[in-house]
Amino acid sequence: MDARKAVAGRAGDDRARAFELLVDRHALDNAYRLATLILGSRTEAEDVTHDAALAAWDRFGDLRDPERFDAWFSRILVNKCRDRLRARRRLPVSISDRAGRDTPLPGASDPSEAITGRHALAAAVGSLSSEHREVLALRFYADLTVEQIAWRTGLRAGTVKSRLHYALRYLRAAYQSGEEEATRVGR
Amino acid sequence: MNTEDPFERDVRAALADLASEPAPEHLVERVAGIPAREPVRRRSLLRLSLGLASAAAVLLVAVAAVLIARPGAGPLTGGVPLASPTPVATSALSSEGPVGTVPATTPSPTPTSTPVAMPQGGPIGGPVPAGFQPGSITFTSPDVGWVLGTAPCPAEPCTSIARTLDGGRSWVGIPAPRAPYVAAPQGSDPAGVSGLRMADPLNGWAFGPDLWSTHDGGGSWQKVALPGLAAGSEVWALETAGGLVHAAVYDGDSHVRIASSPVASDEWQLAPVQLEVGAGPVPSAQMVLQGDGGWVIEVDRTVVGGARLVNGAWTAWQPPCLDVAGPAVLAARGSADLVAACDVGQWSTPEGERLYLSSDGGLTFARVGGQVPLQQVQGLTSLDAGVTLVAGNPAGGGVRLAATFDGGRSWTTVFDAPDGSTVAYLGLTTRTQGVAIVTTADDRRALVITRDGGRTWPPVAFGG
Repeated sequence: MDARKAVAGRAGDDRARAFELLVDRHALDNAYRLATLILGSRTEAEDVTHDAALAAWDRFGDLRDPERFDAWFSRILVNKCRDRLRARRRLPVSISDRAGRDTPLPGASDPSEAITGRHALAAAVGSLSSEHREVLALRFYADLTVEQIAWRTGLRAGTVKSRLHYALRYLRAAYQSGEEEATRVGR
Repeated sequence: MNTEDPFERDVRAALADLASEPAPEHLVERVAGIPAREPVRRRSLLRLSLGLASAAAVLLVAVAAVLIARPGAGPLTGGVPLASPTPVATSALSSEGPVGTVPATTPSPTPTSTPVAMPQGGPIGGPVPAGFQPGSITFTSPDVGWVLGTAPCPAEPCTSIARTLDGGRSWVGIPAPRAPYVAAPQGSDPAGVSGLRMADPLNGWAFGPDLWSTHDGGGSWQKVALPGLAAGSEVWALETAGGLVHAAVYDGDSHVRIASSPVASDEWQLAPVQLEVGAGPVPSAQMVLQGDGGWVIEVDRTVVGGARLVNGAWTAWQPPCLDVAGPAVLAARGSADLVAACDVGQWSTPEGERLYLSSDGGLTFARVGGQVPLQQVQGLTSLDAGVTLVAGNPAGGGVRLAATFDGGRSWTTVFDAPDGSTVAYLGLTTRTQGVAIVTTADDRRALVITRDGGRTWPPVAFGG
């Protein structure tokens, strides 16, 4: 059992102390990094992480089992990210519009710029639509199962699978193009 | 045995690379203060925890919380004049703390580190051109930044861009738009670029008065024609946040318009709102974005008008200091928190520079602190109440950066430059790291950087 959660559980009615123990540096790093991936913006990730912490404090009485804190806080964070994304009037080009097309490779026109598949992957993640980036981050960064992602996001498991499928197809195209380009320029 | 697909392994690694930065210190500090700073909400929660289990009781507590919170809240509608000044003593100009000086010559070249590939794409780059002089700077994280400037070259345009991946400790040169670098975008130069903003390591814009974009980290640049605007339009300000880029554009006639686009593509659209340019001789526009919030202020000797980004749409906005007969400079601390430095009475009865704060998105402002110990403020930046930095002219001439670490009650001089200098840019990337570009009387430009929250500002060497 996580020691901080055990201590937080014993903190009982001292909610401020329990909150401090659970929403610690480690939890904030995790939340900030996940929000950065979902939103594609560190500035917004910072705002959203703070908003999620505020919301967690507001609803702290709802958390019955400190062992469930990570999932509970993560769900709040994901919801805050989704609120933020909804507030954006225009979204990046949807992945469904781009899948199957040539993936642009940053700097590939310059032979000195050997772009590896991994670098191309990182660039392609940035151009994914937010809904695809969300499930991708939860699956491959937060290491959640499809069912866990469905619970966090409120999506059906089938929708999660579908989005993961398209996200990976898009990234795989970028990855393969990047590897081929790196080979072509003689990395 | 690890049987993971190499592709999926690389996806994990790429995501880990993209999310490698920990939560900023100031975020950790803000969150640590949540239980102490939210007495109303805590009271509500405590009441909930005491066993008020019925829905009616919960509702009563919530209503009580709202009633408690409401008296201290600001007005819900705009148009409220600035609050009465709160007299707070301002300390005499202090020389405490290290005071920087603009180097008289270009910083000595220092060896640059071996170029490393961008973690998210973009050109690897080469040496920074000899004699590179900075003009505009943009950071997307404490480590990753770009500087637009010029360097001597055999044939125009000599516009250059330098990029750092280690917070300004080493730089490489990357391709720049094939457009002249202009020092003053608003007024005299018919074409070229003066500013640079990057949304992320791939998408960025060089602007003022022309507009160029890159979507491959500066590997290539394309000139952008904004739809709905006639020839002669000029981009006066441009900022990016939240996946969008916004530009304040002079329409060539008598208005400033605002155009916006997703960062990853050039799909610009004009907002309906139009700002009058004003009757003065030197019109200018400043744009600030933070989180979901955005503001444009139009100044033509005095504050003329403004626009505000509300729920993703630009609408007309009554900016601060419309009635003080002087200009204003804005900085944003958050989606709803704004700081303004207003030169009260510059064109009537001068009273000096004063700071104003808004916590309701710019609907109302209240004066804070005493007089700012500078005249003609040229730059203002603040991420929270812990530090506010102002660039302007001290009484004895020159240009100075002054900082307040106590909400405007006292000010400390943190940087001085000789007479005739100006500050072309001042900004904080994080609570501890910030940059300023200073132009001296002989038109030499220097980049200075702080890594201690604005207390010291050593010059940056580009190694060119």
